[in-house]
Parts: sequence; structure tokens; C-alpha cells
Amino acid sequence: MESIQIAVRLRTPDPQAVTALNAIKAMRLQLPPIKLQRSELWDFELSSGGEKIVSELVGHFTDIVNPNKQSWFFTGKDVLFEGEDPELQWAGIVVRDHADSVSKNWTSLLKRRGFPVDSLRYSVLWRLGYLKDTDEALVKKMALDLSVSNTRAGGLLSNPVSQEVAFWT
Amino acid sequence: MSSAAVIRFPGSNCEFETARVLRYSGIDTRIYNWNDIERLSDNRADAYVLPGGFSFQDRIRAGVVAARESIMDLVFEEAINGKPVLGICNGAQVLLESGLVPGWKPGSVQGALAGNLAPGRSGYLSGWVHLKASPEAIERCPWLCSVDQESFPLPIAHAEGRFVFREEDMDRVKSHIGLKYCKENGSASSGWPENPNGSALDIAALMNAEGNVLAMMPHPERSFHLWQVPPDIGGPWGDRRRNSSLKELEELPGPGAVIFKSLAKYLGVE
Repeated sequence: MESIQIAVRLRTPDPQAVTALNAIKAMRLQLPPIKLQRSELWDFELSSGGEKIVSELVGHFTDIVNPNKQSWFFTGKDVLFEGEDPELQWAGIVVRDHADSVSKNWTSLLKRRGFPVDSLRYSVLWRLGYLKDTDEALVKKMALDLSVSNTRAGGLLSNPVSQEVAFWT
Repeated sequence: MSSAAVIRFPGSNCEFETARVLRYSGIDTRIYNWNDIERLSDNRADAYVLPGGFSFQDRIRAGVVAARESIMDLVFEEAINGKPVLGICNGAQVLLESGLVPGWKPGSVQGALAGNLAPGRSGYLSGWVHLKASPEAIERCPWLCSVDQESFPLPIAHAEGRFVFREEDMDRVKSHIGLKYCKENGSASSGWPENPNGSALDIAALMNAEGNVLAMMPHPERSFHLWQVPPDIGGPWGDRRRNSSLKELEELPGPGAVIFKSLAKYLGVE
């Protein structure tokens, strides 16, 4: 069994990230993130084929990656996300639905098409860029606080009733 | 004259028909932009409606950005003071993200309208569903006080309409149910397709504890007139639609009218 993750991003600035950053600015936090990036994450569990199979199905299904407007790469290779400022300190937050028909239906579709995919999971990765000299533990705490909308005024990126968040490493 | 305010966010797309059916129901209705806070503050309404659409393009998740707009502070305050507030579809998503519904602790997010869960498909769905009001809602919700115990059809059109609650809240949410998805004859839903999105407890509309705030996913403003009911729909409303003359179709109310007539009755509109 192989686990392979890809990240998919818009080639242009992501309007969702722009809106999220504006909403964060309106929250008037003491230490808000300076930049915000959004990617879609697709986690594949494969019985065989590895990156070759993933590349093949990414090339085949434009609903996963539309090459006209999106770029993608395999994560876990210590690459800096395109467009990310290396002078900032970045924290990654992954948001997933507890029950997710996108993942379920894609798994079923890929199996039917004969791809050696045991499961697939869709999630959204938010990368929050803070000032470089901010304490790392504080960055993590602030990113987590911002990630969960427990109240109308606090948090933003996930609904705690229907979604779960985790740090992206 | 009783008045209603329809709040338009960037991306709302049902504000005109919503305002029109409120006016048809005898309620003086104005549409306010999300940044018309002062004008709305100076002209407080007797009731507020958050219409359907895709506020802020559903960015981040449906309803969350609109829920943080300053105009929602005013709606929040009016809701807490007992004024009737209705959220239709995207408006319902705004109400849940605002913490007004279910509203056990107003302002806290205690429910969600998550992505639809239906066998073999995901994303946006549209169609007609059958609904039944709960006795509690008929008793205490100004938007449902004229509804009877019979089932009635309304259209739905959404990608995120599945009511979700924490496990520990599943018991207490039962007394907040406004409308439930049901079979055409009014009997309980047995899941999909009567419940088209996998909503917990077959909930189609949910109110706060006081009953004055209602978040509903179906669109009553799209079925205000009988001619808007599809002729091939089953049940008594389908029969009524098929057996009506052209003149009757123009004049007779559709199943969605009862939501706005309820408000008119509640506000004492003649």
C-alpha cells in the first residue's frame, strides 16, 4: 500500500484566499497572518503504481487538476510552495469534512475505471504566513485559533460541527 | 404598515422574487445592500429575510463571510429582540454560521449546513421535495404559523444543505425542527431520495429556541404561485396544478405562499 499526496493550486491568485485574508483583516487580530495561500489536497491510497498512476489519473481527470488554470505537485518533497515568501514563517492547516461525498464518489469512480486506488481523500490546505521573528509555538496557536469558527466573530476556516482541522506537516 | 427588509449580499440572487412575494403578502418590503447599515438602522423593519444565492461566491464555505458582515450585527440584535428572521438557502447558511440557529448560545456556531451526501453523486442538486411542519413550529414560528399538518412540495437548489449537529446535541435539536423532508403522502422519510442531501433527522428547516428565527433550505419564494408547481408532481398540490384552468393558475397561491402568509398573519396584516 502506498500513500501519495498531491497539492493543486490555481495559477492565478486564489480568490478564496484573497477573501479569507480580507475577512481576517476585518477581525482586527493583534498578529494576523501577512499572507494566506490555499491549495486542494488529494490523498491517494494505492495498491500499486505509485506516482506514475497518480500522474496518469491527474492527466486524465480535469476535475482534479484543470491544467488550464491549475498547477500541481507531489507534496512531501520539501519544496517551497510556489509564490510563498521564504521570509515569512508558514503554518499549514488542513480542513476536511467529517463526511465527504467528494472523496467517496471519486474513490468509487476511480475503482470502477480500473485504477489501483483503494481510497482517496479530498481536503483543503490553508498556508498562513506570519512575520519571520514570531515565536513558532505562537504561530501554531494563532493559526489554529484562526482555523476553527467556534463563534461568529472568532475563527474562520472551518466549521467545528462538520469539519476537522489538523496541522499540515 | 408592517415592513420587511431583505438583505442583499454580493452574490445574492433571490432578493427580487423574495421581496416581491412579501409585497404580494401585504408587507411593505425594501431590499438593503450589505453595506446599507445606516439606512437600515434608521428604518428598522418588522421582519428580516436573508435571501438565497451565493453570497461572496460561497468562498471559504457557504455563508461564513456574510455572517461576519457588520449588517449581521443589526440582524443579530433584532433576532435576539424577537423580530422574525428568515434565511432561505444561502440565507439559512448565513444564519447557521452566525450562530443564530440553533442558537442555544447565540453567536456560537453549533450547527452546520455541510455538503450534500447522496448516493453516487456530490455537489449541487435541484428538484422538488415534500415537507411537513412540526407541531412545535406551527405553534411558535411566525414563518410557519399558518401551515397545516399536511405535506406540501417546495423546490430545493443547493450544494451544501445537509444539517449537521454534534452527537451530544441530537436530542435537543429535535424541538427546533421547523420542517422535515417527508414522503409525498406525508409519512416519514426513509432517507434518500425523500431526504435529498442526507440531512440529520430529515431536517429541511430549523428554528431557534424562541421560534422567531428560521433557517430553511427549500425556496418558498419560487413556489408562491400555483403555476410555479411542476404539473408532474405528485400529491394534492400536483392534482390542484393539473386540474386548474389557466386563469386559476394565474390567481391561485402555490405551496410556498403559506410561509409569507404566516408572517403576514403574525404581523397582523389584513
